[in-house]
Amino acid sequence: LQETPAGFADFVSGQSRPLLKTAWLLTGDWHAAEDLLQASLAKLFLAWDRIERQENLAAYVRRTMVTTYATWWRRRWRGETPTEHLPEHAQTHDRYAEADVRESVRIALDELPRKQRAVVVLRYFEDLTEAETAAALGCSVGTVKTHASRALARLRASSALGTLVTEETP
Amino acid sequence: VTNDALERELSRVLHELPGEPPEHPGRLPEVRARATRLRRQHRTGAAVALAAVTAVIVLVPTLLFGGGGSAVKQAPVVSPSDWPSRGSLADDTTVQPRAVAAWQRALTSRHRGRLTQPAHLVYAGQVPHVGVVVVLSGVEPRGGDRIVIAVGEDTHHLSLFADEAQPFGVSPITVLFGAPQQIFEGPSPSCRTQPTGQPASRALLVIGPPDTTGARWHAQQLRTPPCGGDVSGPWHNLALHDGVGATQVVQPFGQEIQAEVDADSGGYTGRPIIDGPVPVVTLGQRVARGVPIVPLGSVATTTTRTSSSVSTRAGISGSKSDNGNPFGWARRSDASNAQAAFDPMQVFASVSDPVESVPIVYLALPDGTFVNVAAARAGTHDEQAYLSVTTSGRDSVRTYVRKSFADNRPPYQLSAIIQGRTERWLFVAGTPGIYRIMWRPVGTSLWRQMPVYESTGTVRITDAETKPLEITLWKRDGSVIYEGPVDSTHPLR
Repeated sequence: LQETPAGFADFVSGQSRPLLKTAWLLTGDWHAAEDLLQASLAKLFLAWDRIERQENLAAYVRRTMVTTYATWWRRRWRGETPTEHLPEHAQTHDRYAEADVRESVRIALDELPRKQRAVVVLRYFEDLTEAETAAALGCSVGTVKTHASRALARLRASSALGTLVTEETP
Repeated sequence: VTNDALERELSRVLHELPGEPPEHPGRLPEVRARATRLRRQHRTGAAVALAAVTAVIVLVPTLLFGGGGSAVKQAPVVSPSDWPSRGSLADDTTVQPRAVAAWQRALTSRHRGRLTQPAHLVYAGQVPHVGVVVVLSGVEPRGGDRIVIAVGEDTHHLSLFADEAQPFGVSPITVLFGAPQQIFEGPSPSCRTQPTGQPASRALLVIGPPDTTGARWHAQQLRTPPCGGDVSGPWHNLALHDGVGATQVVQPFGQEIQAEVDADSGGYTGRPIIDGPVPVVTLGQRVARGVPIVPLGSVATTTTRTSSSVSTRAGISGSKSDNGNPFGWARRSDASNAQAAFDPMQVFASVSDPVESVPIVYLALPDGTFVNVAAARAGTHDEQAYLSVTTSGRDSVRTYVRKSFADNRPPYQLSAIIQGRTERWLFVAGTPGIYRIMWRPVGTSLWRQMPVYESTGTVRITDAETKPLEITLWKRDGSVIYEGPVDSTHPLR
């Protein structure tokens, strides 16, 4: 294995935290988020010599995360995609009793199709423009607008987030 | 709520949502290791790396089970469904459908569904002191192979007398008519308080394979008498004609009748006698329960196999596996005898290391194929989930789905396409709480529901359904627990 470039180690050290948050918003699970981040960083590692001079390496990793995330979804033998934890297991505490804003939004995100979820994360967490989001997802701006519009409609209709926004909006 | 307001709140909440990520000091070396694997895969053209949770279909060579000393011994197979119809009324073509109708009425009264397979007439005739007796061998959608007995004053007024699971392999059918006797199951009574009662005269019907000529019966007290003495009665012979015989027996109070067929010739011995009425009972619910998640080592009842033996032991949690298991699923079963007929340890017949296994799901598909889901650990491997099928006593497990426990988390579902005895099925076992299961071929838009029993779905699929299938599992409140492909697209057989 080649030596780890100093710049790469610095990048991992400095950018992992925000990138991991993005990965968590995409996957809804810290283990899956770590998995997604590492997979994306590994691709960056292999491409480092070619792209280290790029200004926005974080954007490269972010785009890799989104495409990897989509690839995992398409892959048939990837295993499970749990979208909600069950409260029925007798040994666990009642998760819904501890439901809060974080849980409500997480549930609302889980209800979104993956493309729409990716658009929401890139647009409203990463604060990318529609054009940047389209570039990250490899689709047209019109497609981003469509996904964003549909996602907002679903979130508005979601009992979890709909209630939250109604309560917090003056 | 306007879009602007929603967007503002969404942006604010999303930034607060993840919280502080957990520290992961080993990230950099792990990334380097991943990069190495990735480069190797690129160079060799290997398939993409598997995700943390994987499901694989495993082909078990038949050789593994052939003549192995530790393999589960298979009984010779002569099923009652292979026997010719016998009895003085066997040629009456109205008897079989009337008996089937009586069976269906009893099943319907207990919400056990519709019979879909034809039932075989084993016996129809007059039994002294009983009347018309009709014995059927058939498959029940939620019961697997059944022995069903209908009785009546005549063939027009049949009612169900017994509905019992038919074990794999050879089994003479022995039936005791009349009210069953009291058998002491509780604490042993003292000499002074030992209950007494009158002996009962009951009718015994024995049906064996057509080539059997003799049977014998006796009364026996199962438990050691508290005041000593041998209370087992002598054996009485019963001649069989065309493999069938009936007689009156005397059953002393507190004892049970045992019967054997062709015992002297070293042939078949007795099966558990059908003692008195065995009504159709109500089965489980639509939604399965959960139980505590307990590692295999401390599961209440596990089966442990070494290279030379298979044993079942009680664990520290007590005597019932529903006290907990690695899945956190309460045990699911139906009216079938799958638990007695199929041992998941067959899967590990070739493994020399000790194996621990706890069964979770024992269910029959509507065509009589048995499905088993178990948590097991072979050798030094971690606990894994196994889904396997068997179609008859003559077949060992040939293929199964194995699924890892990711981060010690039990699976949300196990699913497979199954080539059963006569039909092709999609089988999905969901985690407790699953209320609705839907499926569709990949690339199509129409989701179709499948019948759900104990959070487990089964639906027949046609041979024309060749596309990969995907499924969604829903809770009662409409939330989706799983959406994705079926674990195995290659049919289990």
